[in-house]
Amino acid sequence: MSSSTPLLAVDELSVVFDGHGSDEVRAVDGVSFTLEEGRVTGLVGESGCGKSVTSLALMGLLPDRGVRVGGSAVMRLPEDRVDLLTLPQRRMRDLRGSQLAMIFQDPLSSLNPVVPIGRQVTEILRRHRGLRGSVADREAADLLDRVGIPDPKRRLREYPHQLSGGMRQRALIAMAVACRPRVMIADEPTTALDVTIQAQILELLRDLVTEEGTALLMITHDLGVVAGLCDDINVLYAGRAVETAPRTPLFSDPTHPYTVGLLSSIPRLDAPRGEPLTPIRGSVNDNIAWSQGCAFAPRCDHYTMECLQGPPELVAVGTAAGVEGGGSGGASAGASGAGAEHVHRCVNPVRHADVADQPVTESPAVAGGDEEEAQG
Amino acid sequence: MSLLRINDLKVHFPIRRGVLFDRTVGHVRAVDGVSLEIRQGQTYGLVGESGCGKTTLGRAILRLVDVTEGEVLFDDRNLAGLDGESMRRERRNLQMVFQDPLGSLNPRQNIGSILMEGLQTHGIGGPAKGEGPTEGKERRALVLEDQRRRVVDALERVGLSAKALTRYPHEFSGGQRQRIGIARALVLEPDLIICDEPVSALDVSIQAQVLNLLESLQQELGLTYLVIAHDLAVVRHVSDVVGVMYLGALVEEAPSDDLYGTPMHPYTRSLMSAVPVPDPQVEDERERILLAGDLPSPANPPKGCRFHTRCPWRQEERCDTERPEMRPVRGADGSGTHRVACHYAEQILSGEIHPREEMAERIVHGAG
Ligand SMILES: Nc1ncnc2c1ncn2[C@@H]1O[C@H](COP(=O)(O)OP(=O)(O)OP(=O)(O)O)[C@@H](O)[C@H]1O
Ligand SMILES: Nc1ncnc2c1ncn2[C@@H]1O[C@H](COP(=O)(O)OP(=O)(O)OP(=O)(O)O)[C@@H](O)[C@H]1O
Ligand code: SF4
Ligand code: SF4
Ligand SMILES: [Mg+2]
Ligand SMILES: [Mg+2]
Repeated sequence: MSSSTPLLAVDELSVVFDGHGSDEVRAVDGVSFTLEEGRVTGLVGESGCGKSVTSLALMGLLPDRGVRVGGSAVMRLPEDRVDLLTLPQRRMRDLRGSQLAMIFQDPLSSLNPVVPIGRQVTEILRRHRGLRGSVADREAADLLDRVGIPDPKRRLREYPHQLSGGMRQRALIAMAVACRPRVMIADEPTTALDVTIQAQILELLRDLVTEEGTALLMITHDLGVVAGLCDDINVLYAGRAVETAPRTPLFSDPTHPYTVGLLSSIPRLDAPRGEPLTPIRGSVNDNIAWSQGCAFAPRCDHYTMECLQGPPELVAVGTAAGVEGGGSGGASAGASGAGAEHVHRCVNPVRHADVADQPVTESPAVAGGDEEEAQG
Repeated sequence: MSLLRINDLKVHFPIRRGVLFDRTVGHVRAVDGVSLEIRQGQTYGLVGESGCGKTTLGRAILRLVDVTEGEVLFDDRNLAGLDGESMRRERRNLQMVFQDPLGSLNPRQNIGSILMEGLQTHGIGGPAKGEGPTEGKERRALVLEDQRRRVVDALERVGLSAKALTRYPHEFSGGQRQRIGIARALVLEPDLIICDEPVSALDVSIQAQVLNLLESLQQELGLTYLVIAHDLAVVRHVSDVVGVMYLGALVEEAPSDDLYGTPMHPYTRSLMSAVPVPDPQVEDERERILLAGDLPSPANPPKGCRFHTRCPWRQEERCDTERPEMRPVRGADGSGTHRVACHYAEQILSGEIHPREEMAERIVHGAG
């Protein structure tokens, strides 16, 4: 551990939903990462890998019943440290307004449809900063102006449905920053928006991080957004981080076959046309339980029998990987303030030379011809 | 040779108000004068932001919405002028694949019956006229057998098998459902398939499978596609020619490489500059043109150039009053296949006209 403790240290977070008769769902299965002031940490992965559940767990917004949460999420406050996962409801509610804020994908669902935007913003200012009357009104207009909403005074009197999607998302960001939170979680904040509006919102988030020093947890499935915004990135698969790295090595030197597969699946605007894509075969439904071995094995081109000897452990890139419990000592992600260490969870990682030389046309996975099995 | 030619197509939706009497108080000009041509065996990609009229254009070609004005020439027949019955017959040649694979498949029908439906509607299958029995049980059996063969054939082409026939849509993953949607279109052996956001509901790894599938089907069967999508990288990847729409009209059209290499319309430039690239180095250096404000309402589009309210290069007078026509410009190869609807496209490209000062700060260099 380095001398400076992180603002938020998430350690071995797990979330298990009761199956209500069928098998329980291990939505998040031992995820660790840290958030630091003025840095953006990314969670990326396909649908169902546990991104949203992770954020809901940190915000204390999971349902009360039918769910078990494990691990810890220690946040450094001015006066003490608290574990967000065990904090009493009431203190959690206070924190949510003042230190922690969240932006969701669908802004309409997080705004009250029958209350004008202005009242929703001033209410937050009253509750958490004690501002009232014209002072609160002025501050509200100022906030809307800062997030780039034109004619803020008029907008404050309007109802959520009168704003476009991009304006609503900005209003929500204005509300999230109203209390100058130190940690902000954004769950797919731009997925529902057009690219030109997305560019504006990403610029806004970037300013927030650099100017206010907010720590941002950015959740997205878009690797382009990740490349532009995140400092450290965690790639999740089936509830576990399979690769964690600062942005440069993650994109230039990805080592986990899933990360490599994701990167070669996406068409790039700046790549020469006519290069075939190399998809990952099958779908996320073709997985095995981590307790049995690597969950990605059924879709992996690098898979060997060793992959099924139990869950591969998270190790630093370059060190030999064993399976968990094998005693070679797992690595912990992001232990130093200078950014995350490059770690992966794979016994046969891709070496960079393989990626560079990989002939794109020879992929065995084109169009997934073996896909006729229905989802189980 | 062009398979589909659209001339000055308009689709205006009436806006109705009133308690007792429906009064038409205006029109949403969803598609407002689009002309384009799709060549046999090629893929035409249509991009643009939400609400610009892409889906409406696709639906108008199939006459799933009323055409207000203009022509849709398919194999030289004007679809916009056909009566209902003739249009229904024509639909076998033009099929559509939708964005939401689950929403477009009836949950209570099994896959076999979903795929058979079109064949039955169009009376496809069975021995040719003059061959075999012409009526009765015997013929019906032959027809059914032939239809089943066609359905299995279509399923196999999309990487599924006869095992799928008795299963229901919810038993399949998103990517598989989209394959079923494609098989449903393929089974009728259409000439043109209109794909409306075919991969936007899918995970990235599955997107690539479906895109590769569309491509290989085109090679095998000589299909012609109109691909509608908001994801520019996807459109660039699959299309031979790309058209960019803004507020119901095309603003630029060019061969894919030409458009992405030398975008000339200010809207195309800002649109492309907004697409994030999965490469940190590129992201750190990339120029972004951040547009101000929102999309104007298609019920009340701006006068003159429709983009003038947000255009960083807007020039006094002419841009505000005169609507620029689509006109050929010298593209990268000088072939005249690059069309653009901007009065000042050449001067903007050469750098003769600069962005206006209050807009220039919205042009960001790099991520920092
Ligand atoms: N309330 C719940 N009860 C039971 N299972 C749940 C619940 N919420 C989520 N899950 C399951 O947990 C897993 C992770 O879901 P999560 O919403 O975190 O995925 P995600 O990564 O955010 O995906 P997406 O990209 O689609 O938003 C999924 O398998 C999901 O079905
Ligand atoms: N049946 C209808 N009646 C009235 N207005 C309509 C109708 N269908 C579409 N519109 C309007 O026409 C315009 C164009 O809509 P369209 O669905 O074609 O856009 P799009 O480009 O496909 O957008 P998206 O990317 O969101 O799918 C929008 O303003 C829409 O609200
Ligand atoms: S552990 Fe094995 S199966 Fe899993 S990603 Fe690595 S090589 Fe593939
Ligand atoms: S015609 Fe004028 S307003 Fe329209 S895009 Fe060209 S420069 Fe901009
Ligand atoms: Mg989610
Ligand atoms: Mg649409």
